[in-house]
Amino acid sequence: MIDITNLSKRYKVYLRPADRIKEWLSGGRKICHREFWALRNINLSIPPGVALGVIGQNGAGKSTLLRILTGVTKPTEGSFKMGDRVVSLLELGTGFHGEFTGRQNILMNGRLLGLSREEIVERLDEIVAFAELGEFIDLPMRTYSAGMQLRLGFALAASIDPQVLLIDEILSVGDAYFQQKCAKRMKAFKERGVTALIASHDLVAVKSLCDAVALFHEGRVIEVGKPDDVLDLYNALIAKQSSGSKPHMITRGVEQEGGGAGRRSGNFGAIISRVELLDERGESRGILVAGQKVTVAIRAMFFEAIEDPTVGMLIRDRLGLDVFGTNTFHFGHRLGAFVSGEVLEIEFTMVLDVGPGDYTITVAIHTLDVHVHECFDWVDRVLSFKVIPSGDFQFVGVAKLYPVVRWSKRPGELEESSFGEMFEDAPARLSMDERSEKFLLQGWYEGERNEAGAFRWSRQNCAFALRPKTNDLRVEVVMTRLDAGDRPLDGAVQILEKVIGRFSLKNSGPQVLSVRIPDAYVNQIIPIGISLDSFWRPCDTIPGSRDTRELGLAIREILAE
Amino acid sequence: MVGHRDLLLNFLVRDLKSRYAGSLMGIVWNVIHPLAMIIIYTMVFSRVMGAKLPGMSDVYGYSIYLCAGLLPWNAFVEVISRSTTVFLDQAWLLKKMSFPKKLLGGSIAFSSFVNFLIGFSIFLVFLVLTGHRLRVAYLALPVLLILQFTFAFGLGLILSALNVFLRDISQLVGIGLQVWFWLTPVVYLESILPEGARGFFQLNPMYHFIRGYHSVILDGAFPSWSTLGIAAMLSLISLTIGSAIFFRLKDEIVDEV
Repeated sequence: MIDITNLSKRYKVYLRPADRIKEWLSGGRKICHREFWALRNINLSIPPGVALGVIGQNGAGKSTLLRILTGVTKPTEGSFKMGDRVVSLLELGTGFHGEFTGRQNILMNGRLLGLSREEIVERLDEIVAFAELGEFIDLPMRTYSAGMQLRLGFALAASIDPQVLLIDEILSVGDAYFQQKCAKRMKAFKERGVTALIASHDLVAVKSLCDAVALFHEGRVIEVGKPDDVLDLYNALIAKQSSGSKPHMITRGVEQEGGGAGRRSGNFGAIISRVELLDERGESRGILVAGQKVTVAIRAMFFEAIEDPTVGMLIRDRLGLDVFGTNTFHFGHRLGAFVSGEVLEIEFTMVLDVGPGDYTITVAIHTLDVHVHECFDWVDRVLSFKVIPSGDFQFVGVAKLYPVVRWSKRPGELEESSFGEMFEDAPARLSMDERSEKFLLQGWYEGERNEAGAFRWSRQNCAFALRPKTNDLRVEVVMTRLDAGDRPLDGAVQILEKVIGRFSLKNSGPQVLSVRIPDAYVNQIIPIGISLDSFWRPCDTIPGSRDTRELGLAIREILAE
Repeated sequence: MVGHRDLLLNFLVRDLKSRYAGSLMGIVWNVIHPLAMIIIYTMVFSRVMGAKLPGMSDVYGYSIYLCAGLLPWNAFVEVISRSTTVFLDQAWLLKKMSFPKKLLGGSIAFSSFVNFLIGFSIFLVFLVLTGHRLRVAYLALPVLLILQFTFAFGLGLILSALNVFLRDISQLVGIGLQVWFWLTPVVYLESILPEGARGFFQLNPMYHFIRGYHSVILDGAFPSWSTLGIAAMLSLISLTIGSAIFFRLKDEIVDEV
């Protein structure tokens, strides 16, 4: 929960350093500074489980707000209330020190974020695993890329189990894979009732992460609402700023038939007077088939003389994400000079190779390549339409591509040559130390260590590469599961898809799992898999544990020699 | 500051480690620097120049006099000059995280203190090796040191807060410290001062601290009560004024860096 009431922040601006001395010496009687209000009367209330996006141009007050909420600076007026555990990610690598390794930085920064040393040590493995930095985790942070710093920062913040999460303009740095991972974690946060405030210029990220958006402009909140509506207004605002001295009007959206609330903005030197979506026969349609040929017909009316206007169209999906947009400028079409009273009719005809779903069309008339130069009329979501699946083939996603599908089938013999090339030197014995790492194929957690040496937890299913010297495959298990009492833990060992043996282990305690390898595989490099009937999570079993890993067996050694 | 012992410790460790992080010998440099200084001064003044203290037969007499004053003085300079710019140096941290800002100054004082202890221990080893006995009076050293670092911390608080608003201060501090150094009997002996100037020199706070070190290390005598009393008063005054000014300005600091 975040509750912000009448919050204002004033900065004093001194033009020269001497002015401050004058003011000090006069004991405050003489005022030599100008006031600058970075925030004016902000009222926002964000309930638990809601992510609020904060957008606005540079200097709109986004960062100031986050700084106040973080406690970095004090508000001049007003107040705010928040949950207890607040985690803020205000900038990449905040508080990270370049000369220390990732691991050392986790320890030091965890303290700055309010964790006790024990808590950090407890979560270290989880943080390291989430950041996925590989061996970089033990290298100095100055060797990290921006994306890697972000990964570590987010992993650390994510491990803290916050009630409130404050994020400033950083999520866009990570690669697509990590962004998805963050988005997933953000979703989990929201489900747990975490309140998030995300300031960003990355409108796509805001759209996909936030439930509501607040638009800041010159220190004030000028709109709070559904992401789509507020982002449209933001767009219009940017256009307005560059329209110069001409009046620029922004209208409230009118409810459309399709449910969209289109907003209209521009100086209305020309207006879009009609937009239609037509099928091949020229009939107006609201429902179309994926892959159908359609025409967006636009009519514009001129109220002043305009040279070479640009007309553009944009298709957005249900979430408001841009699917496709272009304009006459990008096609190199010069439309010529228009005088007041003239009408322009223009058609975009295209094959609608998009996925099934709901879409909207936004059209605009402006100058040059984008609407920010001078915008005459921009109509958001003027039309909406639905695309239904076509008869030829089913698919998911936003784009309909036309793949050519080929396949072949062969007997599933083990190909020693291709697998062997990857693991030329596979041993007959895998001790779970660093050297074994490259032979662990999938389904393993980071190595751990106890008094008796190195071991690793497997997941429910795991696989490794081995070159057995004998038929006797032995897997030395340190521990199975701590829950489930006397019930045995069943599983199977397989090579490729073929089960070579089944086993039943007793719960907990050291034991050896023994399976016979068929003669054909002896002295071959082979992938061996162990699959269990179940997994367990320490956090479900051990009171106070935050370990959410899905564990199988703790294995110390695998050998066939 | 007590409530944030953890954080202070964290800053301290970070500061100490980062001094030589990334360098080959790391923390060993903390030992090499003071060692080099002691060796160089000893060689130059005892062997090359043959400087002696009046009334002392010891060949190392002047080197010991010099080091006894210079080591604490250098620590003082370190605290003051690093404190002055600490908020500008750590601006990124101030702007992104919320924590008591005093801790930054505190960690500098502590870090310098630790560093000083290393250097001073080496000096003590040197004294023993050159045939001096450690005397009971040395027990007064910790008291003097704590008072000196408190004094420096308080002064650092004032300068660090003011420097955020008037950046010229850090330049003035650089020059000021040089002048201050020569107004303090570290290199020269107090006895060369003209009789009439002595009173003026007593106005210099550092004069009393350095005098305390000299009396302990060279004479093996406890510093006089007046020296200790003045030192205690100075550190109290410095801490009080420093805290007051700092408290008045602390909320505005982050808006200015």
